[in-house]
Amino acid sequence: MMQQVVTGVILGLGYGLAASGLALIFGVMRVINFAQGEFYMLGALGLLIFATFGLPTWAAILLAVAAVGLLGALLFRWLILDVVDDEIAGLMITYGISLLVVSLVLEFRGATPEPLPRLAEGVFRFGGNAVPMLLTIAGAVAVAAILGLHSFLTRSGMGLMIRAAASNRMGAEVSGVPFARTQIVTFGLGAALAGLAGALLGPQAFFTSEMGAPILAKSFAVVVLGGLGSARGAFVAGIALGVLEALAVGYAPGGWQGLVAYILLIASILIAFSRVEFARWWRRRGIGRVAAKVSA
Amino acid sequence: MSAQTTPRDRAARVGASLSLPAVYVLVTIAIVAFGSPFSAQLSLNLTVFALLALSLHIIVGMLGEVSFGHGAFLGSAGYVLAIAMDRFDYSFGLAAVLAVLAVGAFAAVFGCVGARIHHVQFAMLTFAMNGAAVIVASNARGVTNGEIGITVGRPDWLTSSSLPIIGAVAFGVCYFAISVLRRSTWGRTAAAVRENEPLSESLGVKPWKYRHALITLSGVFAAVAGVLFSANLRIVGPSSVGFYYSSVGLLLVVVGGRSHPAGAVIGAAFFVALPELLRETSSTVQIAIFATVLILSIKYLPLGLHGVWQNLTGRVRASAARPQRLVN
Repeated sequence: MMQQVVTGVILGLGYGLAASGLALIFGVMRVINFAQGEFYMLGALGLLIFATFGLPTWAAILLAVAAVGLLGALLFRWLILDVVDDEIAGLMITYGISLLVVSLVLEFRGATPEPLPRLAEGVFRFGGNAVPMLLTIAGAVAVAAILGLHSFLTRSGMGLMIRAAASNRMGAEVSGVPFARTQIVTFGLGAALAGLAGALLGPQAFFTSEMGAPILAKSFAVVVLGGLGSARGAFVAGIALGVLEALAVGYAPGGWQGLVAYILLIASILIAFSRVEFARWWRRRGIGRVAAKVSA
Repeated sequence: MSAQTTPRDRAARVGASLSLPAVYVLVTIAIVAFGSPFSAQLSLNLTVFALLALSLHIIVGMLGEVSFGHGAFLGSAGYVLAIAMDRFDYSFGLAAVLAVLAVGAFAAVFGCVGARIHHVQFAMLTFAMNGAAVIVASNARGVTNGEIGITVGRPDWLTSSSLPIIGAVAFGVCYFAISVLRRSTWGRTAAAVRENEPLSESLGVKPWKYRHALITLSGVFAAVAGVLFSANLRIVGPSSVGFYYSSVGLLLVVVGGRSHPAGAVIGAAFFVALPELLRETSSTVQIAIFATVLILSIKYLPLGLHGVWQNLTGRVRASAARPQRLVN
């Protein structure tokens, strides 16, 4: 039980890392990035490619993350920036990018799963719990990354602009925030965060062109549960999802475990929905009562 | 437009709504009668995708939302059809009616929540619904037979030449219904709800009733598409429920044009024609080409292929321009 919770928390840190990029992008652009799962996959692919050049694994991860971030920023500049104000078009174009990336990777690398270089082997033991070393390092890097993201957003000039753009677009533009550049940086940063998650968590399993799809569904659940657009909320929600999934392993047979993320997603939308509807119902009743008192 | 509608206006409206479905049915009959079995098969594929796209047109064009869950409606109609025939020995006709009714009821239940949520929440809820449906379809082996799926038997009267014609007639009826609805007072009110919900609510309209009816109608259309689809394939499996068909439907609407139901037909025709034009290339390359077309058409043709047609004939209206979102 304790063992599952510990594994879940560490896995959840990885989910939070993948989802924080999605939350960041949604916060500024108000667009759901359907290609986020593909940036995760490209992070793992980058690790695979750079490692074949004989680089040490950690250097390959760093290069992969930088490459994915750059690719994300360029894709955004070329394709998404012009249509991002139209919600349906913005969503569909990221979906098109996701489709294109998956089919290109499948065409050039084939469908055979490939093993990824691992940063570390063995298990990490503490207090009677054993967690794979790889996961432990991934969790630690995820914590470092979120702290880094937090200080970037709060201390740097660009971070200030991103926060301004997210909280009030018109106010930010009036105050001279270069909105297009802020969006490009945000998208690149969001892509890089997903790429980092892919390079860290990907080596748990094999590389395939389709490894991004389950992560996308989990990121959606995490982002909606954590409050749309909040990177910090995404981290907390990521841990919640990780723990729930780890606990579900004990109760649900094989194929059903994927349902956890979807149930969480549906439940968090229903909770938000019923809160709004309940408040509305209550307001009507409240007004009705006041009116009755006045007329009496 | 004058405030009063005369019977003549109404007759003109019905006539205009009838032209495309009538031509569609006649062309299909001509293809089945004079064309090869292969072209009859192609026209059936076109009908299935056109119906799916029409169902998504209701969501994207008339409701103003994005649904990633219509594969679930499509596939579950197939499952109801197959299970009713396989387990309960219902006739094909009865099972088909049951499938449409059951999926319509499912869409109506979904609509109770879906009518009251918007944008991201709507897209996420449909996405989750589809994801959950895939997992249930592949794992509830007692009901759905898991990955193997269930075969759909065809009665004797349902041959490879009658099925395309029945499909075309079903499509014609659905298209006619949409065209009449769009031009009616009800349809105009629904358009007002889409354009500005708070404003229409302040005028005494109950937005959620319109949204709920549109979602239910969209589910019914997707169910009709699903019945034809599984009768065509003769099998339903987890892949019929999958995200593939949800996203294909969305793609057809966006590439074809979302401001008019004819865009759905144009998108479907494009989607059915493309693999035939590129028969030499692998399916992966075809998907890559289709994704490129999608990206370019969103970037350069915001109104889709139908918008190109409207531009050429000078019929583009101010209201059909790209919907710009207001600041935050």
